[in-house]
Amino acid sequence: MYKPLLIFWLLVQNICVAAQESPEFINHIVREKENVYRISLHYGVPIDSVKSWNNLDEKYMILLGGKLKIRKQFKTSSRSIMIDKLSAETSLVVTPDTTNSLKNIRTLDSLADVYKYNYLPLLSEPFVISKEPYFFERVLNSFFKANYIFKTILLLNLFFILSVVVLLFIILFRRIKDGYINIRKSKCLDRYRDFITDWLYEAHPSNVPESLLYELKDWVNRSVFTAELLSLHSNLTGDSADKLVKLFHSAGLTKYSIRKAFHSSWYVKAKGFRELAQMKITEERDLIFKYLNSRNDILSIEAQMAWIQLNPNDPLSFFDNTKVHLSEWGLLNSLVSLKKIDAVPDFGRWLSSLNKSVALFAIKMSGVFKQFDNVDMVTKRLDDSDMDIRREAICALGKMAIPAPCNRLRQLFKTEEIINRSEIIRSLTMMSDSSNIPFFEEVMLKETDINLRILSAKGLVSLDGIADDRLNSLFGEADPVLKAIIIHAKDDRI
Amino acid sequence: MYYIIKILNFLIENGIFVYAIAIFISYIIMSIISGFEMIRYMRKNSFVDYSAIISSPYAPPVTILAPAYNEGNTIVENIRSLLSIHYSDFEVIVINDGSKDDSLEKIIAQYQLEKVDYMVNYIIPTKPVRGIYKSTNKAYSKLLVIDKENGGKADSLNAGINISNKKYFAGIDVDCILEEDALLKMVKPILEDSENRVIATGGVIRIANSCKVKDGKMVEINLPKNLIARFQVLEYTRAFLMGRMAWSRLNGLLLISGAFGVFDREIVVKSGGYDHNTVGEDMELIVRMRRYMIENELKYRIVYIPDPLCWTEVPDNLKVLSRQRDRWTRGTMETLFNHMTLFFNPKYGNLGMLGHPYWFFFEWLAPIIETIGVFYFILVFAMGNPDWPFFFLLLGFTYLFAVTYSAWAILFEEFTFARYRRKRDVFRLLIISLIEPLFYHPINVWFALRGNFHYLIGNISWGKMEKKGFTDKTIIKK
Repeated sequence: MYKPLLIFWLLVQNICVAAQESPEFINHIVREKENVYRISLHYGVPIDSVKSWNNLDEKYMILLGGKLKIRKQFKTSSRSIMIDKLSAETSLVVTPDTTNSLKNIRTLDSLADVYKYNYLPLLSEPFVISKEPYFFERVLNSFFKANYIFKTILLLNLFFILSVVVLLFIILFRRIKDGYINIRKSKCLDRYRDFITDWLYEAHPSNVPESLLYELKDWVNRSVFTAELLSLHSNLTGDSADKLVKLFHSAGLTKYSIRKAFHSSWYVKAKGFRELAQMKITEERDLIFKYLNSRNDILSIEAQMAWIQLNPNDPLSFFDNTKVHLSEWGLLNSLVSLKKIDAVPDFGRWLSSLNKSVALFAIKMSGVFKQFDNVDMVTKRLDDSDMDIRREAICALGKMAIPAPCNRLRQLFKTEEIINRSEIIRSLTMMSDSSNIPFFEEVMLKETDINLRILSAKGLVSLDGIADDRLNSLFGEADPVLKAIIIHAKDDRI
Repeated sequence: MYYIIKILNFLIENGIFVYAIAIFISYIIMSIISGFEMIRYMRKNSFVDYSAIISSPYAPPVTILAPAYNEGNTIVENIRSLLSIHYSDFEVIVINDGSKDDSLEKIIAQYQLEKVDYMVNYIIPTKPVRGIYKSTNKAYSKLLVIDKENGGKADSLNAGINISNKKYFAGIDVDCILEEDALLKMVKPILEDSENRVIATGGVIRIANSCKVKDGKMVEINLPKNLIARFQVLEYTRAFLMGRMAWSRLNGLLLISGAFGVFDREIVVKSGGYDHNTVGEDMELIVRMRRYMIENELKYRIVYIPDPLCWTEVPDNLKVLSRQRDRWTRGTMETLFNHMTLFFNPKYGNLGMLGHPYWFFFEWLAPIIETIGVFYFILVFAMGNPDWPFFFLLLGFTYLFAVTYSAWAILFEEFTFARYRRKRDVFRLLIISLIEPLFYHPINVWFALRGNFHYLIGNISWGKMEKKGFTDKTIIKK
């Protein structure tokens, strides 16, 4: 089972990153001959702020090499202000150059030492800067000052909240919309059902009333009506089915089906094909023809189904030049469509097809529909180099259950692989020909594969008569395994 | 020493950061792929007539294998439900795995069974079969019961595989409730793929707690009343609709849950059947089948179907849940470590480069890394002064990501199958998604950690004990 993983705590650990080099603070490493006072001067910040940032109480002590946190924004701003002050008082010209060189001066008191200036009165200035702004201002400020990681994550968070709210509304909206459409559908469904049944019971139904034609212009009504009609049609045959087709045409629904068939989305197109096929609208056959070999497998299957139903004379003509490998699902659906038009073509035409899937289909169908004329051609395909085709041919011959190819099958047994071997025994069993007795006996006694032995024993059992006597006599002198096999084969409950 | 700590520190911080980003991105990519795949699936199957399969010569024959251990209370009903499935060519094999209760007697009495002289062919070695039973009543001709000595779920399934001789088999938990058209929907992908051999299909497991069941069919679907089960509804929805669909598309699905999956019998037999030495036999089998196909250079696919086909009761108390999760964790570890050759092995394609590493890093390792992260945080918290605004921001980010992800899963469900028809239920699910990361997730991480611990302990002292029971669901069945 899938592991539930929400990684809820995962990113949280990254606050460690933040703890050490947070965006707002820098670390100051205490050097020789420094105290908090000097450090506060160095950064131009109030001594009390330094104390509070670092949780220092009255009896604090700082160690050489230890870290002190200093809030970033003070560093440059207050310092430059102090330099401005200093320069103003000492008539020192401060250019960018000198600012840079001033960075090299370790502390402001050393700076003051240099210019023999008493800097203490200047300390009142930085306090003004440290005045705390109002809450909103602070939030906004800290957002704009924050680094880009902070900003991105914050925006993502807002996006998440927004998207959850939007999703909630989408779900709500959809539910309400569905509810509304369902109410509308249920309103007209009963009326339409009644109308369609009335139509079916009338001997010669007249025209569709104007009011209904008008109603069907609305897509909800139309979809209900069409769905009802089509589902009813698929369960009917003969006269009543024809009546429904007539109703479909006279209700003016044909053009909508054609419009669907020309739609650019494949799933609408496929539905359109389906409606065209069911309602025998043959005008757009060329369009369907184009999609018989479509790359979209669903569309191509729908097109094939439609093609079969719209060409009852030669339904499987597209088999002749199919290049692609048809899936079993597609073939299954072709078969369903064939059943709908009640046509069983002669599959001999494709028995030697080079397209493997078509050949397999033809062989299988020859067996299913017991087309005995094709026995020779199916038997020929036993020599095919493809194992699947050989297997299909073996099964088909078994289904036809005529003893003619018995000998060929028995020969094939020697060279076949294990799966095909079991199929051969099964097919021979179905042919129930007494010439197989020695073969079954040999397999049962000499083969190593237990499944094959059981199958051939069953083959013997199915033959009754002579085979039964033979089994009984073998049973007397059999080893335990063979005995078990024979008992198993004879148990008709299995 | 200082530098070692420094390096470790760097590794943990950056490693976790990269890991977290990777996991977020993988989640987003997976859900996008799943989304598109889901849309396609829904469109594709909106006009499919599944019943066409039933009457067709193309319907692949399927055996349903239902292993049962001490299921006496429900087994008769469950078998009835299995027999009423809509399919043409199928049989039901119930394997009684040496139950200590009266399961076998009950089945024999109810379905008029009698012993037959079956020659069992042990293609895959299993514990000895004591007897094979068939019904004297023709109505139950599709039923076959195997009575064997106790050997665990994998062993029972192997016994079933030995006896079944149809091309495909469906392994299911006997206490699951299958939708009637479950098999039809499961075999369709097998028929559909014309280029690859589909060796297995998996279905969604949905949660049946608090739902009404009548005659082995779901009558009314409700959101579970129990909170723990409700959490799991969300969890399952997310996992099945958002994760598996994408893996199926990439043909990298590593797990088809043992509760319901259809397998190609020939390939299963050739790759050696279920491994009874692991607690995660379902995942292990898929990995082995994939390896078999790749090593023999055969084109194959493992497909997953998002339709809700199989309903099952999930644990509704922490004790049972912990045991289940423990087992899942150990199963995952056993499979991953037994097949370490796959790990980033380009020879195995998506399986080696994507599937196995994904499970290794994001399924097995995730709870462990998460725990390391939490401890590291506590350490930092104790030693220094965390940056609280940033902390809450990231906390908010992970939390909101989780909630959004769940909300998307609910939306997927809403737009596809929408099994919970009451508006109230959907809102409840959304509320659940708000509290899930705070309560249910940490508990799950804890269970996973315990699973890891038990795996390590088990390898040393426990050995191969405790392999007898099946799913832990058995325990909560009333």
